Amino acid sequence: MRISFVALGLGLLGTAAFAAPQQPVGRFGPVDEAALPFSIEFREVTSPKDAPPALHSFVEAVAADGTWLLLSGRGAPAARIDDVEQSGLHGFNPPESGRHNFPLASYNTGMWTFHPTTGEVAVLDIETLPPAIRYPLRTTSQQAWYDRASDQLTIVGGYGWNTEEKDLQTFDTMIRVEVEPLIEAIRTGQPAGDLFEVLRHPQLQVTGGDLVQIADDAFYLVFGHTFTGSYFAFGSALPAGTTQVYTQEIRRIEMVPGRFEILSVAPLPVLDRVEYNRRDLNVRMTRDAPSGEPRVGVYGGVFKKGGPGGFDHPILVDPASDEATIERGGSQLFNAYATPVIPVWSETAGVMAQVFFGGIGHGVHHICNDPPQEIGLDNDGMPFGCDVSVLTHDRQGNWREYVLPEPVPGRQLLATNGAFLLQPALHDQGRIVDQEIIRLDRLPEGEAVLVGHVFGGILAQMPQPPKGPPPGADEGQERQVPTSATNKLFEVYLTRTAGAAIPVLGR
Amino acid sequence: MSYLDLPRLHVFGCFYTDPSTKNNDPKHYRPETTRPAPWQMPRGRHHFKFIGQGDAEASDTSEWRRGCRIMAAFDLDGQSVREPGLIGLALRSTEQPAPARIVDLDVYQQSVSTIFGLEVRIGAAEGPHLVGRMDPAPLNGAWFEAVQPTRGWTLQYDQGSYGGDSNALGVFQSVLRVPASDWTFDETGLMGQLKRRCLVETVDGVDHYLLAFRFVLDGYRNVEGSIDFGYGRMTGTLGPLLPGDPHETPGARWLEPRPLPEGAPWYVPRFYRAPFRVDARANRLLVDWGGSVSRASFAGPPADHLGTITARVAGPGEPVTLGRLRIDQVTYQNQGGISELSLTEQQVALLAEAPLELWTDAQDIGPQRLFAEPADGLACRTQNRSIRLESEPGCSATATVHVTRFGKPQAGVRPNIVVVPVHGTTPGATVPPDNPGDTWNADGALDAVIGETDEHGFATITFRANRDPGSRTVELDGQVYFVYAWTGDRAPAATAEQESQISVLLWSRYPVNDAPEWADVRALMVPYAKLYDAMHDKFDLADRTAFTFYSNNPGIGYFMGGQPYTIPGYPDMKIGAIPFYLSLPVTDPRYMPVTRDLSPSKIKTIFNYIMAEQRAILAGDAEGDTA
Repeated sequence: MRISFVALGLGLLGTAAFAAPQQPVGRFGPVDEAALPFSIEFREVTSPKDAPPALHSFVEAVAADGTWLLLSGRGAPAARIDDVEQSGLHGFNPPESGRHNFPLASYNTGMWTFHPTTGEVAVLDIETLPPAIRYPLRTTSQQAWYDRASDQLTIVGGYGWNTEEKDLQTFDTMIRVEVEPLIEAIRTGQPAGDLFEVLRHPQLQVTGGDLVQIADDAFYLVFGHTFTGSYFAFGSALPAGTTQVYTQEIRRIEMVPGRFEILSVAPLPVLDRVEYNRRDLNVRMTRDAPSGEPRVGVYGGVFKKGGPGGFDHPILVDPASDEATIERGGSQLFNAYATPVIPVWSETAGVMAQVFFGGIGHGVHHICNDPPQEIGLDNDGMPFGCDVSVLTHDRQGNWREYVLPEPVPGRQLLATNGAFLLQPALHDQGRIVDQEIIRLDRLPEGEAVLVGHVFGGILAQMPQPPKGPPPGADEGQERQVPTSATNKLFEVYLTRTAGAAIPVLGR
Repeated sequence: MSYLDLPRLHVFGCFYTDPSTKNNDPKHYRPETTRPAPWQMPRGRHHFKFIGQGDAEASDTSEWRRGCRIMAAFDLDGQSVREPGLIGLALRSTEQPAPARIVDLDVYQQSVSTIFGLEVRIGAAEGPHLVGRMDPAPLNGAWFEAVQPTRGWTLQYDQGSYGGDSNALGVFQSVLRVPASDWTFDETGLMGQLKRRCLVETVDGVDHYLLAFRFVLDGYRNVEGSIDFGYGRMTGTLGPLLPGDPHETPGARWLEPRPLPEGAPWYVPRFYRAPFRVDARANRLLVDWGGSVSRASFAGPPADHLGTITARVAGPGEPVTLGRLRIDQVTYQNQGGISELSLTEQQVALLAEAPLELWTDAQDIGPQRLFAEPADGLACRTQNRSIRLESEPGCSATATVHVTRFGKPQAGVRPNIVVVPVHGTTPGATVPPDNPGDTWNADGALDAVIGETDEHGFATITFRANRDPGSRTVELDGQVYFVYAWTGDRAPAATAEQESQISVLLWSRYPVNDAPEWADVRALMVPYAKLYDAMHDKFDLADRTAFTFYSNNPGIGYFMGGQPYTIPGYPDMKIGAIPFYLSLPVTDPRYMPVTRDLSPSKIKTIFNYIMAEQRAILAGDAEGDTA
């Protein structure tokens, strides 16, 4: 469910580059001190007992005792992260360079557990798993959903190396595993292969979309694409056999009751193929603020046909009727790429808010980590950013976007393809609805409550690719933003009190 | 109302059929046409099968190609039931005693293709299951523009892409008869509810549970060399057959589609008439659009750009909006293309006397009213829509007409009828207009008399010949008639409205030959041998040696597993494959000729020839014994 084809399409814009330090992008109103019914704070945790792995584009689940399960994606143990080639992030090698953009060594091969309070880490190598499980787990940008009630983690698709390790493909698998037994197996080093089930279905051959469980036996597989062959950016002369097909669909997956077997995969009606050409997006359970009814919220994503633009309009899908609406009254300038998202619902205020922590988007408010002036920057229109943005939907049906006055701590260019992991105690306290939405009204007024953590993702050294080749770059290597997977960790505190925010008025 | 009633099952998957179309050209029935063009699947056997989930390796990876299975079930209260062990169960044809056959009535009427002898099993033989034999099911609605066109040159290709049958869609409805011993599901679950609600008929002391079964076929791969040639997609619904229900028509109300706007671009969706029902008990509206909305692509989802569909009650005053109606692939795949809408009691009352309409909010696909029920609420639908009738004096056949107004059966009504002899330019004829069709004395040769409707809304039409209609060629027997029934202001003959049509193939008069020569028999066999390659590959029926051999071998006991069998009128005929197959009921999937285009008088002539041969052989044997 997290993505790593960050730069697909962006290489085209090199010709439109200009050398200049980064500038704000967007029109902003004055700070509104009571724009939000909550305030939110991110506190970096700098010294966990053992360092969790540095990962992006991974799959995660949080067990009832607060232990995290981290699978797949790209990255490495924290101590080795600087040794792992991290290409494929905002700037790509051309085919003639002879370098893969998704090198095999950059894939995570560990099944990790981590507890953010105790700091304890354990890992079991996926080599211990049967090939039918191992290879689809050694992928990136899968679609996944953890169902707390059944303790089942379901993982669909993903992009990675094939079983012969000669080429890359999008897998057509669905994997299911019970999380707590797997965590126990990882902690104790016991074989875990029997805990997994796997099936294949052609309609599941997707990467860069998202998965949401909408009923006991039903999921939505939301957008994404099928990429076959080694990834190269637009504008490259792609090797024969390399194909990319966007699904342009929200697929409803029905399971046979009581069995791990697919009954049916069917697309919902396609409202607008242009608007549906999305991948590497954010999909979260949400509430339709005017009605208060549950919805699946689709935010951002890339790329619009004909250019590198991201998508502005949210899409809401009613899981009871499968009816989708493109919310053309809503516009999202910031953080349109996959990033940690914190859904907050206030029934009393009639406001549904999605908080987007960093990532990539069109908008820029806080200038972050500019490189030295002499290097210059390409402006590809979607830079890494350090802004925290909030998209709200209110009882009257109005959509508004805000930027928080405080950016990501340290103005770090963080969290693309990272994750927000809910504090499990909130479930027991009745503070969660629809599996992942924080019920603001259930929080004590004026008290900062730890609601979860932001973890991992991509750490970028500059917002956009440099104008020229980076110092020390190999001959033929394309300009790249120096990036790596990260194990950065932030506690997220939410307070039920009016919060300040800067209105985004447009581009 | 049956399949639109409760409880009901929805199935989805894959069918296979291989009808030879070598007999689809009237010119092939001319004696001088000795080498007819092969057309499509010349060696096809006319098999029709439902492929059960997991029964066949498929090259295509489409969802439907996985095979037929139960996708959803609704109990007596209309609640979705997710019983493990029921949802996902395979539905398949058993091929017992042989694969079912799909056969046209006549070259001039290929739109009432009928499935004979289909036996269906739901569940595995070794587990809970039911097995039912389907009454012969004529194609009960079809259109050939059911896929959005994907290539240009409208004048030449019209709805081009893949070939005609791939753009076609057909609807079948019939009755499954399940012997009590073949219904082994638990009595407690939904299948128990369904069993208790079914009409029961007792035949030879055996109770049979009757299920209504309606299914839509499309996405047929008819281009030789294409992936999974011969396979297509099905979606369908089974429900209880109830007392007073029609067997071959929904017995429901109907929505008429808007016509395709003149000059409409390729992306404008096409529509076909759709049945619907207002369930006053459950306050629900059910619209069966599964066969009524064009597909975005071959075997694909409903057309893009449909917009949001809203159901309305039209009336003299302001229309009343009932709500959004789903038309999407999820519903097509999982619920047989039947969408439901909750109604208030007031809305149910309104709909009892006012027409339903479906509107779209899309403004770029032509008029926004997509479907409308006729303002008078009248529906007049026919059953037993494909009839083969002898023209000898005393021979007759019947069909029924079901008349409703706003869904309520109309008693004491005598529908209008018209009899139309079919030639190449008759609306609904399935041949090019340059084919003459009519025989020299076809006009008026068929009498049709209709009575008044009974309390269930059924009227009976009785057909008789008043003279010999003649034959169109010496190899194309008889004459085809379209008979239309209607009430109110409609004119179904002008548009060849299939649901109001009965097709009658009236055989020419043919005096039974009591002492035929081989030449007489050969003349009957030649067209069959010429146009049915699948049989010709095995043996040439027009060849005397082959004919004689299979007329006298093997013993009929071979086919019957030792069970007694008597050929009506020929009790002494105890041997021979040809007499056995020719004498089976026409509904039997083994019946020959497969094409069912030999009149009974001609078959009797063949029997007389074979009987004489067998007697001669027996006499010869006896002489040999004496010697």
